[in-house]
Amino acid sequence: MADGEGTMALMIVLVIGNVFTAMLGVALFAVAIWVAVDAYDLYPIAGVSGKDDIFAGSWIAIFTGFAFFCTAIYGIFAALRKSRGQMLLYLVLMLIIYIFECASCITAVTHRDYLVGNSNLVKKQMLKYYADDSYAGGQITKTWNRVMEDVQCCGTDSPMDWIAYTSTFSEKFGPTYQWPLRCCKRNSNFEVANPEACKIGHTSGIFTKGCFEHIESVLSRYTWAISWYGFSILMFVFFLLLIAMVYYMKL
Amino acid sequence: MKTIILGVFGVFFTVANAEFELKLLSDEVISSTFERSVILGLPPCTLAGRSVDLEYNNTGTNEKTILRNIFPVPLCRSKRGLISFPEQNAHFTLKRDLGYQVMNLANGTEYSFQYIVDTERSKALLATTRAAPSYTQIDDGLPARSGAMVVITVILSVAMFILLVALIITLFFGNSED
Repeated sequence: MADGEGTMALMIVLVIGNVFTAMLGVALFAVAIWVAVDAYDLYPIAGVSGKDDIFAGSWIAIFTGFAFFCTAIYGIFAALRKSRGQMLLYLVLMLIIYIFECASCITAVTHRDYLVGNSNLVKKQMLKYYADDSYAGGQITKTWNRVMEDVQCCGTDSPMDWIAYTSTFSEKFGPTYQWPLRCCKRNSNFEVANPEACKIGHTSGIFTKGCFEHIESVLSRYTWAISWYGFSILMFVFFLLLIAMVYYMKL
Repeated sequence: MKTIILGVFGVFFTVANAEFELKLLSDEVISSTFERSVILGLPPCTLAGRSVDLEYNNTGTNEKTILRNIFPVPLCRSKRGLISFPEQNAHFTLKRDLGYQVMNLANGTEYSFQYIVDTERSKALLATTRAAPSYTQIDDGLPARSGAMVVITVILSVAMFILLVALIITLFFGNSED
């Protein structure tokens, strides 16, 4: 009977663990949808560079989050019914979902390192694509215009980026305009406050903060939602699955 | 007597030809050197009202350019913002109160600048225009693997492996009991 009690204890642990896993899965599903929706509209920075697996990871996490939810519910019934076959199916399904979720976490955090490990990639992309005629150029230009307006910043590290390197923008508009007009401080009616001050780079007329801090913080926030949260779920599910395997062997 | 008069005149002569400071404008601007232009500070306001000439010399090719009567020295007054009536022609844009932007320079070249106000000259200022490298020279490869990436990758890879092995063992032992 000791064995039976042990099995009973394992069953209770499994049921509670699976309830918790179901809740975690739904939360992952929700958070991954938030990342995929990209409220800050920074996807083009990742998309044009080809390092967009933060968002690919979020799509995978939408699938795995919901799958964890469904499979965990199934696991509750499999444990309560003390059925070997069902427990085995539960284990196999959970392992498959586990592997997909691992892929999502790892790839999201790796591509985040590529994108915002330092400011070089974002800076080079800005200099190459801002004001460029191509489709990618249009995307990057729109994104940067929005960021500069919302965050009140100019350039990646600072407006110096625009004069420290040549760029597509400087080829088209230099030397009359050293930096885009979106770098200029504006009135509430969106008129440029002081065009001459902005043109020569006087601090009263131009934003002096760089935009990289904002871009890095947003992309990192997305990444932590997918990779660190996914990682914590996987650590919990790891131990749950080991317990489920012990339970299966005792059935 | 004559010696004293000569001495006095000598002093006046030195004072008249005193050299005043000339610096690049560094106050409150992003940069004073661009690829094709440079922003110079203004002559001291003690010379207010007098017309300024600028003489600059490309130190490489020894090409001299003189711009005559480019602006009158502004009055002494407390610091204010930029006055918003610029003068423009093909050669320059004047920023009153702040500095003077010398346009149409060659990039990556050293120039020597000197103001001439009547008989007074400023000290010569050596300044180099920027030679901005191409953006293609920025290295945008993977900068470094962050701690987060290493931890997540290593721990998850190990966990996946353990689970896979454990599942195989479970199947093996589970079935052999039947």
